[in-house]
Amino acid sequence: VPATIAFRHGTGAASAGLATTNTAFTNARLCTSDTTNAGTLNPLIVPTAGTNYSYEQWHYLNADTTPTGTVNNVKWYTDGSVGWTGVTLYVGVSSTYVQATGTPGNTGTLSTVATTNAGTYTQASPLTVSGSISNPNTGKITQFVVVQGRITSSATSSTTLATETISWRYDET
Amino acid sequence: MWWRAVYRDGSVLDEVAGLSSESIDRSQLKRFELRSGALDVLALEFPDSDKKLVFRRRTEFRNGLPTGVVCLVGWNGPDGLHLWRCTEDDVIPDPFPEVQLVPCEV
Repeated sequence: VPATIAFRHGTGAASAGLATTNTAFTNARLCTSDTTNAGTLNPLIVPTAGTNYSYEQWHYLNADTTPTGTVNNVKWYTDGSVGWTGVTLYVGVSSTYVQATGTPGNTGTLSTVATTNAGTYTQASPLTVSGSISNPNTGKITQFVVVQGRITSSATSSTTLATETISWRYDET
Repeated sequence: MWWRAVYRDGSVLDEVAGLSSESIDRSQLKRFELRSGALDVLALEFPDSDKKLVFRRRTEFRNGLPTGVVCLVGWNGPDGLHLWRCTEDDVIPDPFPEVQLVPCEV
């Protein structure tokens, strides 16, 4: 029986390197607050000049049930063309959680972790996400994948951006 | 797909719920079969113990939904790592095998 693997979004204050709130999600929505599944609340704000940012989102893989053996070799990637007019997605990894900051409803703080254009990571050249878990353990498997959108004045206001494709993969013995 | 390990003494270990491929005794393994129902998808012979079986189920999630599972089967030996990518319909050599080995495979 394969392990049950879930995607989690860490929010809230940091506690011993982890987030205080870790919410399961399937599709992430970028926004300007430190929340999960925010719907259309706190949308990204198109600046008149310069760059605004979404709040960082801190994602990781979690084993809700234990694998029979080991889960490892976790990768994260896009289809190579992730992004929207005026909005670019950046990504990075971190072993230690730090709460996303910014001005709610306006802009996030420029991330020092999510600094690589996400489109550079593809199935053929994925982002390596460290971490593994073995029987009989459950819980957090990987380090955090941190994503952030950067919004320029060329983005269009009052539109819902199309869903982009993000993939994770892992191996199980 | 499920696997069957055949040992040198003729005994057989079949994959069942709760059993990992890490449970296979590589030192005694003679033959490894990846099966779909009663049919072999791929069978590998291990004439000696210097080649260690490597087995993975690789799962991909796209936008939070599973898109499928591919089995990776092969060995780690003196000549390096050799893997085949297996689905129920196809078996192809993996030209750039890349896994994180666990202790029983080294």
